[in-house]
Amino acid sequence: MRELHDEDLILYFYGEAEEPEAIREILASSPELSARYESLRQTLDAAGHALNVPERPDSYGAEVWEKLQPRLQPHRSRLLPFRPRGERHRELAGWLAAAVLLLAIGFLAGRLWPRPGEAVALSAEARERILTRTVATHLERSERLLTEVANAQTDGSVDLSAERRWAQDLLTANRLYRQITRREGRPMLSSLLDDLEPFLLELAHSPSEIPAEDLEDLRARIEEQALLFKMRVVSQRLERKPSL
Amino acid sequence: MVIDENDDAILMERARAGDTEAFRELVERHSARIFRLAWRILGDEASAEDAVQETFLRAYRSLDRFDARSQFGTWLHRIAANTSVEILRKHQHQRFRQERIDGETAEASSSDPGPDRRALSQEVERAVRGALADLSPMERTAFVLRHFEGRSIAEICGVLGLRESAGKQAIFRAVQKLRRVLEPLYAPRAGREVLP
Repeated sequence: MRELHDEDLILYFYGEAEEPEAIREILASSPELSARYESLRQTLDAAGHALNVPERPDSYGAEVWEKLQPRLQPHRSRLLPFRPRGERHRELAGWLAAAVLLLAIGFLAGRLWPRPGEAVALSAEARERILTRTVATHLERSERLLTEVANAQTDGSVDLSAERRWAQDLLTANRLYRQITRREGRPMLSSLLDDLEPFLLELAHSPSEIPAEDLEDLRARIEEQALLFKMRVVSQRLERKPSL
Repeated sequence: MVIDENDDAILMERARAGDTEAFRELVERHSARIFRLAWRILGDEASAEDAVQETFLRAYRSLDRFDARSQFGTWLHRIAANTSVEILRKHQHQRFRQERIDGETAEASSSDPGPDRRALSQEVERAVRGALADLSPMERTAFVLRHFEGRSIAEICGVLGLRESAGKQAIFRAVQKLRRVLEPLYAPRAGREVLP
């Protein structure tokens, strides 16, 4: 008969002994070992019943979420299904939006509050160049967003959660550029940004998943207003004539 | 709550695509289970609540690293166990001291004559808590995963990054420490001799 150690009995108790049948036979034939195993079993059973985990209410999951949510940054997926140009654009978009916003605020501040007697930091040409570049970038990103929405697969409902966050970023920038271009006397740009804004607003406030028919409706309106066409035309003109 | 792994997989896919609502549902489904695990490892509610928050935060930040072939519950369980071990390591010193004080108090009261069944159960609970507090974080977590969560030793070693022999030893030590504390409570009443 092989010798049994406590380690064997512990593994046997947990059902992880290598030879459970052999151990069972040994225990059956040895009252002393059987008592030792019984003592171990009783101890472990007692330990199992001794710890009473405090009950959580049914609302516990919601409470956890309430505390957790403010700590979460929006998750940027790298695995979205209909992404012709890759998620990297979207990640960059957030950073670009912030940088562009800072530039625009600087531009606006310089324009509105020049200090008397001091030379303005940026010349009019430089400001115009910056404005043109920032709006052109904004239009390019907005065009990409609308193109993705226009090309999204419609099979039942459509997950637009990533586009929604993207639109939220663009919406903030769009409002600012619309005001600046209007103030700077750039009617073609401000008019295009005016047309764009309702779509960004709608996407920014859409649910995560929208029914296929709502997406079709949105596409139809984008097409009806020839918004993508207008954006491409204005972007091309901006390249040729920055003062547009 | 019965948790359907297929639903979890769908929710996880959506969460990884950036759907916060899907992640919210996963949090709501799994919070109570993660709390139970964390409480058993940590032994107090406040620390367990911290572990629950930290577990989901880490899970959220690691969504892109989730292997879609894995089960969400297992993956989350692994994060929760490791998070709890870290918290336990940070707090164990203070808890150890407190449990020792509680243990000594319990020992003094256990000499009172004629403890009934309820008193015995409280005594056992105190003893178990004291014994668990004396375990190292790794011993305690390995024991909780094996004894309360029903995880195999191989799984435990995978979760905690241990070799199989180290995982087994952690459990053996934990069980032996518990026996030393608990057997004196049972053996005299059962009229049995305590074997070494």
